[in-house]
Amino acid sequence: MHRHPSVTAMHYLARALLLAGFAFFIVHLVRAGDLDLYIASRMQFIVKCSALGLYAVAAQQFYSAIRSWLDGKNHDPSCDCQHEMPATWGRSLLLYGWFALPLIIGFAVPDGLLGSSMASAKGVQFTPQQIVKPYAEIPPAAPDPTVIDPAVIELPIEKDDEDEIPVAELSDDALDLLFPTDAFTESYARFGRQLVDQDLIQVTDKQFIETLTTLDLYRTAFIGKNIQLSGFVYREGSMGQQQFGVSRFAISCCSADASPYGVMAKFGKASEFATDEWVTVTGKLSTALYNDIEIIQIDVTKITKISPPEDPYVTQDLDFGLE
Amino acid sequence: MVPNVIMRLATGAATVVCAAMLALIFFGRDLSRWNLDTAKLQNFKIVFLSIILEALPFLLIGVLVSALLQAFVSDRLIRKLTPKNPVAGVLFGSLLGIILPLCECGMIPIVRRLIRKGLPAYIGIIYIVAGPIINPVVFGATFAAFRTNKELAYSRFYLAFVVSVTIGLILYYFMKRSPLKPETLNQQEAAIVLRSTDMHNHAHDHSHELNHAHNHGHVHSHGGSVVQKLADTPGHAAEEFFDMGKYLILGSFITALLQTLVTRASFASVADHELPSHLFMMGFAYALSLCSTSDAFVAASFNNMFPPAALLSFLVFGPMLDLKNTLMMLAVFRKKFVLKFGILIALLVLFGSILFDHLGFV
Repeated sequence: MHRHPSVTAMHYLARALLLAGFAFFIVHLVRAGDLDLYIASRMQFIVKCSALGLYAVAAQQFYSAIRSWLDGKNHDPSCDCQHEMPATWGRSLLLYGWFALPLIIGFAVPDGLLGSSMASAKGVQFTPQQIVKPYAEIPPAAPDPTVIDPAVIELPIEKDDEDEIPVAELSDDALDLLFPTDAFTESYARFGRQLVDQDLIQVTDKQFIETLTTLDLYRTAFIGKNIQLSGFVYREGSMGQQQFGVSRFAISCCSADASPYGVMAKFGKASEFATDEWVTVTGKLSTALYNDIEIIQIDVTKITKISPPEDPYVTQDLDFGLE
Repeated sequence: MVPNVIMRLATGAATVVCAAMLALIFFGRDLSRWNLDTAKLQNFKIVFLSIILEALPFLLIGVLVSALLQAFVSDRLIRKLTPKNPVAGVLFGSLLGIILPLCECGMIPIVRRLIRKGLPAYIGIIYIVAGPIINPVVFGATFAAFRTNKELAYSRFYLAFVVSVTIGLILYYFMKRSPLKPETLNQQEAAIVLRSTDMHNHAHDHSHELNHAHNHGHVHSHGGSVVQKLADTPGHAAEEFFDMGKYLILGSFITALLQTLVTRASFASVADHELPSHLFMMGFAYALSLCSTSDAFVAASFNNMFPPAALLSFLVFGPMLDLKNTLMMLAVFRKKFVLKFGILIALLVLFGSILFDHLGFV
């Protein structure tokens, strides 16, 4: 039962190194600014704290190692908890090797952004209104019945297209027609009424999902409006030559729960932009039929290459609709 | 010192399999797809490490609380605080998450410690099941994700409560052996953890003495002062960290592989049928092993693809049982117990959410 103290010391040393390794890995990510790739910003504080905890435990293990070595006595923890050190060298190697694996992968594999290959595995959400619609309301593969036929309310839209009538001139009735609400969509309708005023609707990182959802829900009101957003170029088989998705991953805690959202963009020289390249696109909102579903699309008038933002992910805005 | 050979061999085998899979991703079946495979390797890295990084703080909190419990809370106190009545015990276990909101990575070491200290096993296990859902943090996240479908958010908590109370009562009446792994408890101790303590007064006293005798040498040689106990805490924490951590890493590894290699489009066809959609979402929740604070957002992204009742299955089953926590439970509980327990949870959640659906709750 009692092993040689120097063996115990080696065990403690290995543990100290691994624990410190994890702590160092976290610090390394923070320093390099890469923690954003793994953890959503609202959870980063607690992850940084865990680095401190890991250091503390590592220091204690290191101390135990030295004590076992110098005293020549085993200092097993004083408990009845039946923790055991691995019995053989082989098992120790397996156990510690297993803990070293994430560290090795962490340091050896270069950091890359989640991009098209992950997006296509997860399936990009081109119709974010589905998040707020109850299941039964939108039969898949059919046009959304809640969207008003543009023909019914020609007035605001037609004129809007031609000569930018300030929306203030739209009567409340027209706005109500443009932004029909139910219990599910009230906050989006309110947000939509704010957006429709703007000459250029910028899809911000902070409210990326909420803005896209609003545009998609009330597409009739926004058709012909100028939209600007940034994301990576995403392509899949069923897209046309001139089409690509402008996509972002939304995460809520860590990148394991990432889900991709996107808007279809149509641009004549689409082929000049490589898949996974980051771009800012500006253009007028229209719709397109994609995989038998009518989705919103941006007819691109201006497109620029950008470098990926520091935080490549967007998150749900938890305060949305609560103001 | 009979080591849990099987577990260790399993870990070893898993290491080899995983290394092989990694090599497969790395070297590809076809060199022309090198680029794609590098991207997949990076995706794998990001998902794998993000789960570990995300779980580390919770695991640390878990092992630290467990180590503090070991040092400062006497078995006697635990026994005194524990409800004696099974119904009260079940309710206590179900609602414990409201005061001790932890994720499942942190919960398992604490529950093991509490059970060893004399908390009836069924209460500890209900806490593992109910705690990740019935707690304020998850409450907030679920309502944020389903602000447009409050019925589904409420149903999540009602169903979780109903399922955990049912499981608690079933465990109370039918669990005859200690669920903890045999080598972690001796026979007499095993007798008392099963049910509330006063029913087995005799066994209890007995084991208490025995426990004490077992502790004796250590406790005295270390003085047992508060300072000494505090100084011992990181040591305990390290032990438990390595105990639990290996299963966390294995769970994250498999989850990351699945997320990288399995495409979501491949399962759209099951969504239209009632039973398959439930089974699928449950299997999906199991494989994803998300933290219960974030799974609501993932479920919301399926809103139109799957009926809400299937999402309910996802939301209730995932936190109660998933790949990561099954592996962690295997470190603590007997294999047979984990298997039966898993099947029980799956059946209850499945029937529960179908029932909720037909009653019109979701």
